[in-house]
Parts: sequence; C-alpha cells; structure tokens
Amino acid sequence: MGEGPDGIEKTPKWAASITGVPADVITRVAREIALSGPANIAQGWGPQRHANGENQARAIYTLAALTGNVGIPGGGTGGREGYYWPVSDWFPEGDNPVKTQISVFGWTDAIARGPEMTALRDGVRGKDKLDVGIKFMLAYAGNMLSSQHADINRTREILKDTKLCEFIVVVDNQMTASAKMADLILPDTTTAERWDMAPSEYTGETAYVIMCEKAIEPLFNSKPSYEICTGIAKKLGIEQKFTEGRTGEEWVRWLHEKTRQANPHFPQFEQLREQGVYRYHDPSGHQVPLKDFREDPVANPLETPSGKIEIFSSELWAMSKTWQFDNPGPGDRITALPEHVDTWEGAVEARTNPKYPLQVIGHHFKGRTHSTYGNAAWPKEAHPQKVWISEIDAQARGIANDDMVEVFNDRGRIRIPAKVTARILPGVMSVPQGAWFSPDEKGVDTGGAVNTLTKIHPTPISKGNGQHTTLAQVEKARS
Amino acid sequence: MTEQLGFYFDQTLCNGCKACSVACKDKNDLKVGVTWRRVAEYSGGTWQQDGDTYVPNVFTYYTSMACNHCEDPICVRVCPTTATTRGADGIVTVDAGKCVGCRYCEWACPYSAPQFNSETGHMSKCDMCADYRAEGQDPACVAACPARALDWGPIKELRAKHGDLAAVEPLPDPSITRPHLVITPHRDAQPTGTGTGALANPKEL
Repeated sequence: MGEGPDGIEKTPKWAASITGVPADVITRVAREIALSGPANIAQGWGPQRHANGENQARAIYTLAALTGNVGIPGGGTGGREGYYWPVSDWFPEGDNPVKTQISVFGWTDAIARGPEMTALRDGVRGKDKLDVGIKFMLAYAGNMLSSQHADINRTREILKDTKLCEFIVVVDNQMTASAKMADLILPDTTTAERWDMAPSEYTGETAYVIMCEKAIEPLFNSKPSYEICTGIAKKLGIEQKFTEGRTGEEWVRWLHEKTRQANPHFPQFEQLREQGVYRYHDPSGHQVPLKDFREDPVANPLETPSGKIEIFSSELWAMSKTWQFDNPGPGDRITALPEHVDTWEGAVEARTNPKYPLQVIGHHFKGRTHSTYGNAAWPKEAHPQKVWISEIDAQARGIANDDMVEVFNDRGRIRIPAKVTARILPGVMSVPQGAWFSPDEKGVDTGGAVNTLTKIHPTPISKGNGQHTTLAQVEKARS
Repeated sequence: MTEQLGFYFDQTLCNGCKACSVACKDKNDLKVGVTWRRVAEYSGGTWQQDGDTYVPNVFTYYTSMACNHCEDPICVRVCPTTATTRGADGIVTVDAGKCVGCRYCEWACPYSAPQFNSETGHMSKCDMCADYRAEGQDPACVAACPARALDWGPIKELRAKHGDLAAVEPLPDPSITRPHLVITPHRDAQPTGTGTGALANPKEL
C-alpha cells in the first residue's frame, strides 16, 4: 500500500477522516464482510449521484468482487438488485431515427451551447459533436423544467431566453412549476380517466400487472396523452400509422390478448378487470446474477475488453488520456481504478469552506413520489417540506425545531422550516427532493426545492447528475 | 352485552407514512387543519464526535393515534351540553345538534382527539368508521396501513392477544382516561413520563 501516484496508504484511518466513519467501525465491517460467508453487497441509486459518483459506484462493485461475492447465492455483484422482467406487452415505442445521444443531465447545456458540445468533452454519443442545440422541447409528465433538474435559477434563465429553445410544450395533469414555463400546455388526464395496464418493477422473482380501468370520463377539457398524440398524428397525416386503427382502450385489450397468447397462464381480460391485480412468478425461480460467469468465465465472458471483471478498466484508462475537461476542478478526473477522489463541494472541501460549510443532500420523501403530489394539500399537511439539520449545527446558529430558516449558496436560496433532529449527521443537511419551486418577489424559493441549491456540474464519465454534492449555509429567516 | 371496542397499534411496524391519517381525512372529508388520526414522531439520542468522525446513538419511533374511545372519557365529563356521549360499544361520539362548539373537550382530551370544525361550528371526531363497521369493513385507517400496523376489535380480545400496554412516550398517562388502546412497543420505545427524547413534530399533531 502507498505505492500509488499519491503515495498515500489507504488505511482505515485514512478513510475515517474522509468519510466520518471511525476507523474501528471500518475495520469491523470489513472483517464481517470477509468472514461471514456470502455477503449481499448491493447499491441503490445514491452513490453515483455525487460529484465523481462513478468511482463510488465502481468501488462498491469492486468490494463485491474483492470479497468473492459475485455469482454466488446470497452474494451480489455490488449493483442494484435485479428482478423478473414482466412478460406483459408494452405499447410499441417506435424507432428513433436520430442516433446521436447526450446524457439526460446535459439537456440545458444542449439548449445553451449545443454546437459546442463534443464527444470527448461532453459525452456526445453517435457523433463527434452536436450540430445544433435543442430548439424544441416536449416535456411529458415530469417537473424537469423547474424542480427536478440541477440549479433551477440557471435552468430558468436558459429557458426564458426564447432565442435558445424556441418552443416548449408541457403535457401534464397538474399545473406544475415546469408547466408554468411552457409556451403551450396540453392537459393530460389522470390514470383514473383512461385505460392502462401497469406492470411491476423491482419485485424479485415475482411480477404483476395492474388493470388500470378507466373509472370516469376525462374532466374539464383534458385528454389522455394517447388521444393528444393521435390528434397531432392526424394533422401530420399519419394517424392510421400511429394508431394502427386502435383507441386507447383497444390498445390495452390488444396488448393484453397478445400477452395472453404468449403466456396462457394470464387471466382473460374480463377476469383481470374483476380481480384488478394479477401476480405471477419467474418459472426459473430466483436468479443469481453472473452465476454462469462464475462457474465458467471462459464460456461466459463479460462484455468487457478482457471478458473479465475489470477492476482496472482499460477503457477508462484510455478515456483518462483522451477526454477533455474545461477548467477542471477537483473531481473532474477519470481514473482507471475506482479511486477515492476529493471533489468540488465534497466532504473534505466542506471543512475548509467558511462561507458554505454544510453538505446538502436531497432524500426521497414520504410526502411525495419525487415531485408528484407536491401540490396536494393533504400530503403537504401530513409531510411539510422541511430542511433536516443536526442539533449541533442548529444550536451553533440559534435555530430551534420548526423555526423558519433560509438555506443558501451562490446559486440560490430557499426558505422553509427547520427539522432539527438527531437523525442526521452533524455537518450535513437534507432538503427532501421533489418540492415545487415557488419563488417570491426576491427570488427566494419558498417551495424548498433542493435543486435551487444544486450544481449543474456533470460527473466525469457519464456526464450524469452529481446533485447530492452541494455545499450551503443555513441561517434563521429574518422576519 | 355489547362488546366494548378499541384500537391496536403495532409500533414495531409503523414508519410514519401517515397513510392512516390521510385515509381518515379522505373518508371523512376533513379539511386541512382537522385531522382525527395523527402520527407523532418521538426522537432522541446523541452523536459521539472523535476528530473528524462521528458515532450515532440515535432512536426514533412513530405513534399513530386517533380517539381511543376511553373507558373514562374526559371529553364526556367536561361537555356542558351532554353532546358527547359514550355508546354501548364504547364508541365516543358528538351529537352535532347539541354541540355548541365551546371546545372544552378539545382542551381536556390528553390525545387531542375531538377537533373543532370551524365550518360547522361543532366538534368533530373519530367514530371508528361506524358506517364501515356496520357494512363489515375495517375502519379507513386500519384498511389503509401498508405495514398492517393498525387493527381494531373488542378491547378484551385485543388485550388477550397483545397485552395491556396503552402508553409509551409521548403518550399521556393512561390512568387519566383509561384508553381502549393496546400497543406493541417499538424496541426503542420509552416509558411514558421518563423519556429521554422529545416530540419531533409538534406542529403536525
């Protein structure tokens, strides 16, 4: 140890100072994993949503590999849990003739400086660079324009410039903060006003389908998105090609029948309407991922250059030599090994940043599903939007439980009550993600959207969102 | 003899989602500010700091609470118009025709079960979904709980099955009203009156 380029031995003591976890706890957990037989090592979708988050995600895969847990029952690959993919048919998606891709997190950049975006600097795929920026946007059933994308104030500035993205259409069934940014709103129905068949996700070796029967006629002048698209297809002269002659309900019945023919165990349509939910199981039982690879790696190679698990990635090694970073900050680094990298606005910087010394994360909140129902009165009453602050940090700032506070950095400012609690690590605040952005006349977000504070800085490899890496300060609200 | 009814709450299962509370509001069309079933968060503990590292010693648990249809309901005792009464099945109800909205019951009840409805000018409260029970259904809160932490039934049966515990922090001393409530306590639950934590969400109650 200590023979890497930085010459630092990566001991539990070294990790303790960075992570805040005491060295003896790190040693104990390491021994437990190593000695307790199969250890199920899995990760959620938080680790990669940090600055340089790819290395965190890869480190967890590496831990599973180093401890011999890949491909055995009770073990794990270090990835998110898999599940039995539902057999029910889906509405056909069609083929997108455009093969050029950008990261989902790059859409505001593609509006603001599209033609400057390149493969090596911005992760453009299928082309060396973008030829044009985004000029038209269809935002369906999301709140991406004004709550769910990083640095809301920056995003709104970009969207307000009509010379950039010229036309924004929002399709939603609620007047979201994003819908307010649209040039045109097409009011969609709720699920109770249309037919659908919803399959399961993340259900182990089980799967199910829920019959979503139309319960009431669409309210006001709203239309199911399928009918909206049908209307547009008609104007474009491709109605028959789009609908294949089916209404929304007929599509559900047709997809169900197709599913049933291929899977005779599926109940008849009328029976499914009666029972509402149909649950079934993977005929091959529980699966152990990469079992085949473990048993015979030569016959079952992985999709890596070597066919093996590459803890040292030869592809990333090549990328680390060729990919470019404009004004690289700490954390803007591609490493072939999943090293720890101190990053912009990370835990280490927090200790020496006098202006913004507190880390901010945005946990998923029980009052909403992301931003869905962020406007509903009863859930808002049951689960008011508050910033979680440790008792130590609150006391140092004269903040008591339920005091109105302002959380801020150079990107924005939110005003919501404080939840002063022992349930969060000192030095860290959490603003539950998904609240609807609601600026007052001074631009202070009184809805408490965490993305008013987060940074647009993409992660180095995937150019994905590192929004859980944010530094800010908190103070008691004046007045 | 009619069986006296009560609620059962398995605190080991509750994660504070408040589906019970919202289902109650939905079924009874309660406006914001009138909430017959509420969920308390009780939390405490400390962080031990050593240099840059911290070790947590922290606990939290939730308590879902509606009217406990008490054996000695203080709301009935303080009601100056006899609007609040206790039925043969132990269910405490308010007769809106007699209630003058003086709110004495609200102040007296240690569980804040009776709630003033400013639109009607009367008190309102949980009747354990009498209409649902008459149709053989569970009360809305019991049916809504995704963790199956709530149940209801004859209090004798609930006590025989789950024991006699009717209070942990932050609930009041059960000797005040003798609630028809049985609790299976959370592993970190602290005895009423001697807790080391604090009510974390006072404004939500």
